[in-house]
Amino acid sequence: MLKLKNLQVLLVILLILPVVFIGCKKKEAGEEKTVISVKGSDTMVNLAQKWAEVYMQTHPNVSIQVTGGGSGTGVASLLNGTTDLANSSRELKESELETAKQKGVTPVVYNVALDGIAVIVHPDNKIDNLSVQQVSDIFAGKITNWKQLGGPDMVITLYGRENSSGTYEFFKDHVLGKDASGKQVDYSPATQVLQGTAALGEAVARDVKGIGYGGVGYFAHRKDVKILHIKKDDNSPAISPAENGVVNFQVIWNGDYSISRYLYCFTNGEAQGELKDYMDFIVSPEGQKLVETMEYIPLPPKG
Amino acid sequence: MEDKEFFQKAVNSKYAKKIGKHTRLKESLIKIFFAVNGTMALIFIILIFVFLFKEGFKALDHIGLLDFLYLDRPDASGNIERVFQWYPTSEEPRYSLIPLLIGTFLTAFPATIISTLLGVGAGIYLSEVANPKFKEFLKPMIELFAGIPTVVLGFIMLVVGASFFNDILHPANRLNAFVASIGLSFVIIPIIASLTEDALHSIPNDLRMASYGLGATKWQTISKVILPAAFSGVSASILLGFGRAIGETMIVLMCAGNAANLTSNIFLSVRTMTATIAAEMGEVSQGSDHYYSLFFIGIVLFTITFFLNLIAEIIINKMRKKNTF
Repeated sequence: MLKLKNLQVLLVILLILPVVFIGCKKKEAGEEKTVISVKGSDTMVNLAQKWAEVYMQTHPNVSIQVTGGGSGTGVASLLNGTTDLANSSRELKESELETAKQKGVTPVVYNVALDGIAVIVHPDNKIDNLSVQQVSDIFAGKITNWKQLGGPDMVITLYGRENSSGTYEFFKDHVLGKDASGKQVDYSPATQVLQGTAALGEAVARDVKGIGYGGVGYFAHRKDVKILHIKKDDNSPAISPAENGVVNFQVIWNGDYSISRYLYCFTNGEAQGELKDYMDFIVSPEGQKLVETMEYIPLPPKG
Repeated sequence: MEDKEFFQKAVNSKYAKKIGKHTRLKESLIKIFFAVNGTMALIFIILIFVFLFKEGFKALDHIGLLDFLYLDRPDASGNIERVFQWYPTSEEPRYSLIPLLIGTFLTAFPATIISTLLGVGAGIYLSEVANPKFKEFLKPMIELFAGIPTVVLGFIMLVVGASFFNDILHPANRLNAFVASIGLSFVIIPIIASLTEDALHSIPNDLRMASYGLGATKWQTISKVILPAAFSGVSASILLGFGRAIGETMIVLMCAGNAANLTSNIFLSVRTMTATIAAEMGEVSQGSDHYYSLFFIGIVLFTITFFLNLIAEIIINKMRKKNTF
């Protein structure tokens, strides 16, 4: 009997405790929190989360919610007014600017960091360097066998990203480029589409015939994929965006490494209040230091 | 008839008069509640139907019906070239559904063939061969298997299955239609097995007894008597399995490689209609041609599975009528 009673008391305490704690928490967070929602590029989602985390430590009155979904999603949300800040790994498209005009949104662009796109292969692949033209021909499906590049007789397996990712667009514009008649070259239809840079890394790491592309930050420290040296044209030196597991900033800042891009944040109109404070934090030395620790490329030092 | 008489008696009895107004109101409210619940499913289906067709047919305002099949475009030397390609975000968008349809069928057909062999076999074993106690244990197990989330099956195939088949078959692509169809089979086998068992079970025992009485062996009874008698039910189960294979998303998204190849080679990567919607819907900007064309794929998909299910349903209904001796 006594035991049963004890049990009942315990149960009651267990039921009441959470209620008490919830009550306490409410009192602590008495004042209203400013909520900033951030949405966009999957490439930037880790970085954006880091920024938010560090910023919230020093600004307990601000709550920043970061979600990915891709640059296209971020921009679309900004235009629909469902997010305060859109992360994007590409510039705004013509069509998006038009939609913005229709909806009365004036996107303001902030350069917040840089990103190099690494071309990766399986570590067992003997090939070390390729020219931009060769990479272009590979992904356009003109070169289909490693033999054509001086490698073993193996069919090349292409790994790419889904067609709404910023990396897909950037790589298409800057590497595939345009053909002789001025038409945009498309990826080969044989390109396997993977969801996200991490999945792409996994796939290439398991496929000795594979080649893929993605942010240098994801791949610099990984031993299960090899980052290729890229030549701007046949006569220029082959340059790797990462050496010994560390990203080589200099070659990206001065443009020696050909496949790099700026990363952007878009706001609706000039940022104000807490949002402005947050944007200032991102481009501050402290914010840029975080860019470096997350293995992206910080903005070049001013002056 | 008996029910009606009983009902009349009950209404006229002295107890019925004691039922108050209050209770009557409650009764009718309960009746309405269940009626609303019952029609809810129908209403939702109609709403989904309307939404899908409304959004999907907007695609036809900008993209011609023929553009969903092919595009004639000049190649580098100025000759007109007929291309069947899915490039919705290209500078010159191409919306051909042909590679996606091929991808869907190249994963769904082999999966259905594999599952038919194994699923019908399992169904026969459950209904005709296994001893009843073991069957009582096995059938819920098989049905439980059907409840494994497809993302789990997809992940297992991606990590373990793909590497296994890569090592023994050396396919051109590590992730290909074959790997995806094996993954799909895991989903369809339980469906076919369970429905086949139902179909065989509904065959009256007299048929079996008559067959044994004529001196037929067990195998002869199964192959010459039971299976032909249950043919329509078994074929309905295969059709339902096929419909499920076409509509399945996660496994093909993870294992088929998602390259919109125009191929009949089962060891190459393919891209299915479902995977295309799943991969692209998240990031497409609302209101664009690409967005509406994804809904159009939805219509195509819906139409295919709708008719497959309809045919299966008709067959099953016919079978039910036939089997009530």
